[in-house]
Amino acid sequence: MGHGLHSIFEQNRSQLLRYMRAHGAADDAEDLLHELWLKIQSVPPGPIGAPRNYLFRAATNLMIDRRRSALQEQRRQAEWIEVSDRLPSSPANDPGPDRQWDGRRRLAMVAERLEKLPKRAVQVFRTHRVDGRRQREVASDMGLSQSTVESDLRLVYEALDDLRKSFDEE
Amino acid sequence: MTPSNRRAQALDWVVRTNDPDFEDWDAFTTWLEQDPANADAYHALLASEAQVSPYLETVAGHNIVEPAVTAGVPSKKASRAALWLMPAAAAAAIGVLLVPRLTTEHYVTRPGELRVIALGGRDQIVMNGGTRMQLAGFNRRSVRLQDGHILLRLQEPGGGRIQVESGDLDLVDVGTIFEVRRTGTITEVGVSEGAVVADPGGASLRLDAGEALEASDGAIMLRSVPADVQSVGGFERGQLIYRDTSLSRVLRDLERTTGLDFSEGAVISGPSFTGTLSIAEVKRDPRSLEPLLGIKMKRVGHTWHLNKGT
Repeated sequence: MGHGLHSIFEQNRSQLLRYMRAHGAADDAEDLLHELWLKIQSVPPGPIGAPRNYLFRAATNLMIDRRRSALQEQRRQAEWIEVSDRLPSSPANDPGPDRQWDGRRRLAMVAERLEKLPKRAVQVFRTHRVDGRRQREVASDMGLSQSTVESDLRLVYEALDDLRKSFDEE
Repeated sequence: MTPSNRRAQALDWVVRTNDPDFEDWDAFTTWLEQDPANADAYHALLASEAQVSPYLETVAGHNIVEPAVTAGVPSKKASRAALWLMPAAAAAAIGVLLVPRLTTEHYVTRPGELRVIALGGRDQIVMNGGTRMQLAGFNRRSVRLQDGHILLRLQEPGGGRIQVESGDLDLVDVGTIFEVRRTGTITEVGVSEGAVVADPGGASLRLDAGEALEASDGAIMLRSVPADVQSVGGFERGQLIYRDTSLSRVLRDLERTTGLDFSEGAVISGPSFTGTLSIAEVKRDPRSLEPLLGIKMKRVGHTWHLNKGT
């Protein structure tokens, strides 16, 4: 104990449940809430700056993981059907060259799309998402307004989403 | 709401909620509750970021990987990759919960231990014994090898690129099976399938299957050499395969892989070894190394003292 997460958890129990349902947890919301509670048990004692934020952040991560594993399961299923259509010894089963080719072409697509973005936007994105700087820190580091940082980030997230869609269409 | 309006709103929420300072969870809940499609749009954007951003890391250095690079390219060292890992590690140390998927995880194997780390789909990393590494970045696709020996088997179609950092050497996969070994300040890379690009921000040296690279930190030139495809990842199959390799390196590998403890006499450094060693056999009978390596072995406690054979 000692970090106050348990009491904050109890105080926000119904809000957290609502939050997970809003993310599409449906009937699993109670189970996910329990999972969150178990996670809190393993948090080492010590002060936590913003415990409510911490709980919602952890809940968000749980929901992202849940969506992601559902997606991976779908992909595996699709892939299984594709693979089982082929003979076991078929060279088409070798994923190497396909993937290589994919990798190189996708890289070229990403490069092309990034060219169209302001260099600063990519820099803002990297500093925030890769180096982990807060938006207000990025703003003061780079001498930008908070709203410029936000609109730069929007541009990059949008570009990444466009790219993912064109990957899927191949 | 039109789909493009929904996407625009979802973009706003992604920007806001991905900031560690974000606090307005109630307003976010209300937006999500307005329509189940809102959560779908929000998560679709996060998934896109996770899937595409590993490419960004390679491209952002304005150096697109070109396949036609030959051996012996000057290496320009840049301080790219270090930035990728440090904040996550620092944050983990003070117990801050990070915005999704940016935490650093530490992996360690004891000498003699073999461990397989699943990266999702058919992608995996096999750690030899005596190895320390960190995984970070989106979907754990940033690897920092601190010491030891790993085999990367990256075969998930569309699984996203992997970046490996070993000392000041960066490697990026182009769909592949390869191994990386770090001993002191020396990095060795061997490729058995597909290709790897070394130092993508500078030399961009491409290593294809059957090629290897040995570089020490601060090296000015990167040069590829032919290598035995069979030897790559041999440790996973219980074999260590060498061609003209110095004895001290063979012994270092054996310590890692078998957990045996060797103490080398000064005379060991000279000769080199070519051949295949069975890990199980060496574990069962360490003295079987004597004729193979041309050495004499004496056991003192848990340590094997080695000297030049007669």
